[in-house]
Amino acid sequence: MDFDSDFLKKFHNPENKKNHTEQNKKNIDTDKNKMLINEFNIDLGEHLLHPLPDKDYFISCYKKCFELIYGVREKKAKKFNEQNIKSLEDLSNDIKYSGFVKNLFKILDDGFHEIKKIFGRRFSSSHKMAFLLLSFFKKEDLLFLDIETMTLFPETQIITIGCGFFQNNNFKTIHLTALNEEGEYEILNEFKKLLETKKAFVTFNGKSFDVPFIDMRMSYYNIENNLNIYHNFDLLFFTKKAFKGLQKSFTLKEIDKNILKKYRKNDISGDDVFYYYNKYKITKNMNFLKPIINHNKEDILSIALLLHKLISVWCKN
Amino acid sequence: MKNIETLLNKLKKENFYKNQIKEIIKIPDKKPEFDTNINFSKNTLKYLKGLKIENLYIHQAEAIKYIRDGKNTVITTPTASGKTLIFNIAILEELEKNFGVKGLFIYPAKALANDQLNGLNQMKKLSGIEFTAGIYDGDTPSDKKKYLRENADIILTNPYELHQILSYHSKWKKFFKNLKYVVLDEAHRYRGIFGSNVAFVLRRLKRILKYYNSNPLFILSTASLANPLEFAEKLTGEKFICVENSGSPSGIKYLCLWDASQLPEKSVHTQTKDILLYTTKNSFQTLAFTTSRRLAELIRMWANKEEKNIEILSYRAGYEPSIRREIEKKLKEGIIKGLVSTNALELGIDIGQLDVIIISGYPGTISSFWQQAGRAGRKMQPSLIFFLPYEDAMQKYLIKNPEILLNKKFENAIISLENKNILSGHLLCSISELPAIDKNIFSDIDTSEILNIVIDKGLVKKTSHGFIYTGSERPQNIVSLDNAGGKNIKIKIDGKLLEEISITRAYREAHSGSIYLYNGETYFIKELDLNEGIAHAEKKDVDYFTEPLKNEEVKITNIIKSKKFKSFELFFGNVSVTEYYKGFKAKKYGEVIFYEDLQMPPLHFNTQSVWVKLDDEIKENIEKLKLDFDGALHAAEHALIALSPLFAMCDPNDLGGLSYPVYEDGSPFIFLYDAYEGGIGLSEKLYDIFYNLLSETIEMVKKCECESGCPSCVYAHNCGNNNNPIDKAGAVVLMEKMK
Ligand SMILES: [Zn+2]
Ligand SMILES: [Zn+2]
Repeated sequence: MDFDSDFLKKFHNPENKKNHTEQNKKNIDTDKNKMLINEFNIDLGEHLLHPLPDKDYFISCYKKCFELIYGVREKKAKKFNEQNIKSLEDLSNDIKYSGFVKNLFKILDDGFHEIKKIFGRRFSSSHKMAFLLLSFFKKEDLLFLDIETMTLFPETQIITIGCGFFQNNNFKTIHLTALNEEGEYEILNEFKKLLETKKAFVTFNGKSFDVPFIDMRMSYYNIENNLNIYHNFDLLFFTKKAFKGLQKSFTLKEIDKNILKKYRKNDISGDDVFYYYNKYKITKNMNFLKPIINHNKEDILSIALLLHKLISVWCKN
Repeated sequence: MKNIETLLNKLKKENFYKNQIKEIIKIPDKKPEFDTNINFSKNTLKYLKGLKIENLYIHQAEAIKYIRDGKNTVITTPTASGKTLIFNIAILEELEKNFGVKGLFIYPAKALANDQLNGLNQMKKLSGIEFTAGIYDGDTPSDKKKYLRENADIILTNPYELHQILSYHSKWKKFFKNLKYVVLDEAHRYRGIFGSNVAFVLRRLKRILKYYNSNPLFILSTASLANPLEFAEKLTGEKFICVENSGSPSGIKYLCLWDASQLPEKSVHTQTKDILLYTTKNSFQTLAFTTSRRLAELIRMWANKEEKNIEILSYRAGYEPSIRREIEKKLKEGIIKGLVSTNALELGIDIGQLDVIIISGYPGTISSFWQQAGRAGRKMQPSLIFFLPYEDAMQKYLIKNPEILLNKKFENAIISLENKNILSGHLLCSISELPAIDKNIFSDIDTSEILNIVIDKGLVKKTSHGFIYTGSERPQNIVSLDNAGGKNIKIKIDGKLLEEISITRAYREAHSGSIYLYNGETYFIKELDLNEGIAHAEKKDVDYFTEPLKNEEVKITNIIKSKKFKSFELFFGNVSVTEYYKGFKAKKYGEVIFYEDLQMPPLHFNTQSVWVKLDDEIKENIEKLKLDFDGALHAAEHALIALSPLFAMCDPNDLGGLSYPVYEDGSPFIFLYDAYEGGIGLSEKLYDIFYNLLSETIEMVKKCECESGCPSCVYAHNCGNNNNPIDKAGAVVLMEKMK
């Protein structure tokens, strides 16, 4: 049968239609490098000095948080305050609540995982208490994560995995970029190594996008992972809550402009990532990767600065 | 005691009766046959007892024994013969034995899944065996989905959802690893383009299951078919055993064949209303099936106008379960005397049984016919089925040859695994779900050639981790289960998508000015914009329908096989087709009400065809008898096409045909072809059964009482040559000489 392969064109993004096949074939087999690694040391200036919320602050907030009690919502919590009941301890002799309170203190003693569990049951993911879980971590435990992909769907490939972290009082970013189809496997494995010394993610919309995307791609290649044990501080939720009413669209770019007052120079839009990557694939000219990596770096920086901003808004005791 | 024979005799005295009854066939009752030798666990017995079932019918027991033996089983017993009980017992026995086993139940329609879930929950209550069952589809909220993936023992879903979730298999690991049964209910729905797509979705599923070392059993139920084993094996790629002898009982059924053309001044729809009013007035609860929602509404309206004291309702797709319960309740209590419905009611939805069924217009397949007829007969009581065919060669032939209807194993359900658009689309989906190590992605299909093509197009790349998907679109979003790839047209209402259909179908059904039928509703196509790929539609209640007129050209590109007959040679192979759409007719109750020209570029596609090359002497022989050879050939082509859907279940529009008195090599040719890019396997089946098709077609034309051809024999609705030349007598001689 004559196969009308026109149908197959649909599986390429329109950007990708021109000259794809011929150009591709010429170059790809000559690739020796599968992966590009870029590292940047970044001067965050004064922001670096800003500490994460400390444990005592967390405990004091926890003890004041009546909403942890089953059946108590905002309204009821306000009532307690009006009745001069200031902390959970004040309820420890109350017939109705003493059992709950006792249990809440036990949970506090049991540590992070139990606390996380009860937060999951009692709070939405944007609650300030969920943010304050940061106090269980050191700066060095955090991995700031942002990825660039071909499409929004994890059936297609990752182009760049960007990571940021604190190291010896410096902020550093690493960008792992796949140089060819073999490269995605390599960057995923490299990323896995980076994860080993870290304990939690800081992302922007990473709960629904970046982390599940990486998870899917690792599963695709049968790379074992334990991504689900890493706590994910998804700043999207906290930002929406903290800056409610300030703006309509919560994209990193908008947040840069309006909240962080950070101005990006020569940055491409996320939608252009695919265009530049495709240019690179056709020409093998590394210069086409620069805008992607720069964009990725800007995003990670914004996440780091946003974390700092949220700390300054939510942790001024 | 209501007596059906009296009812029929009295009917003949009504003033709307003008000898329309062609024949009344009495189908004898059938006593139940039980299997008393099969043993069950205490819990299963509790379940059966709760259902007030003492013994299983022989087919239920037979199927359960096969399943216990680990055999893939296809059950082809009639509607309402208790097939669900087989699936339920099978999974119950597993759940009882092995904690953690899973079952995947796949249904073609939502309403079915809802009803089955109720049945499963009832099983839980009655048996005392704990398990979790839930529906996982596009409407399931995401937290419920997560819960079901992690906790459900039985998941009910549909092929569309399965197509979307396979790439997330790592989240389904626990479910897939422990999957014991895959149940495909109403599997005959998975035929044609949809079925061919589903066949690949199932192969993708199997590929993932293999990755998780899981090898479940397949249990299928289908309507009666000529080819249940072939069909089940093509659909799933597994070997099957078939259970077809039903032990379920049925009361006496009277099949009344009604030829509405005996009373030309009343349309078949008005006569449907007459019968409906007559039977309901005589206290026989009646359900009338029509072919569109509009007709259902019209018939109900006419009936309500004429008889204000009889409650007659209409029913359509998409009713909520609560409304269905309400209708069922009112039917049971006898408040509703009559119901007019589209085939929305056909698909396994339980509204109880009725005394009389009126089938107004052939529902397209014999299995649908019996599914509709199966609504008749409560508790072994005698029941009556009226069949009123429309003016159409195949429909009229059925009341002249009811043995075709009665031979329920006449039809073949057809699936193609060879359509390269469908294959390549699912191949890309599958590789995006798991890298491939071998060039043959699906164990029973050679995919190496198509894999090379997609590699060449840059969509797949060979890496040290296997073949991986490198396209830049999510393939599951590109591949639609209702299409055979190729160019699609989106039917939109005020910019909102109604349906996406292939361009070939759009040329026939969604051209500018056409009336497009969707879910029993009628839509007017304002404009078909081929450049944008959009047909702009608006909802419009009309009582006419449209038929395009076209001419064709066929070129043979490749012969796959051939066989020699007495005076012709039969071929199966690939052809390229060009169709020229000249205009369309609008028809109301069989009469042309207007005609409009169409300006459309010709439609090209490559497809599969079965064709006849006649020996040259035939022409001389026909002409010696002073018959018109060109007209005879043309008439034979029309008649053969008209009867083909009886053998290969499909819409009449799924097949095209063309005859050449003198083809390229000088001989006369008749082509029948799949009317879709790539083909969907119809022609190949027609090649296999061509001799039977020829015999039935001769009978059909001979038995037609018309003098020189009519829409009930050799006239085709969509003939671009306006049925000219046509020689009916010549066609009979021609085809008899072929035999
Ligand atoms: Zn006729
Ligand atoms: Zn014709």
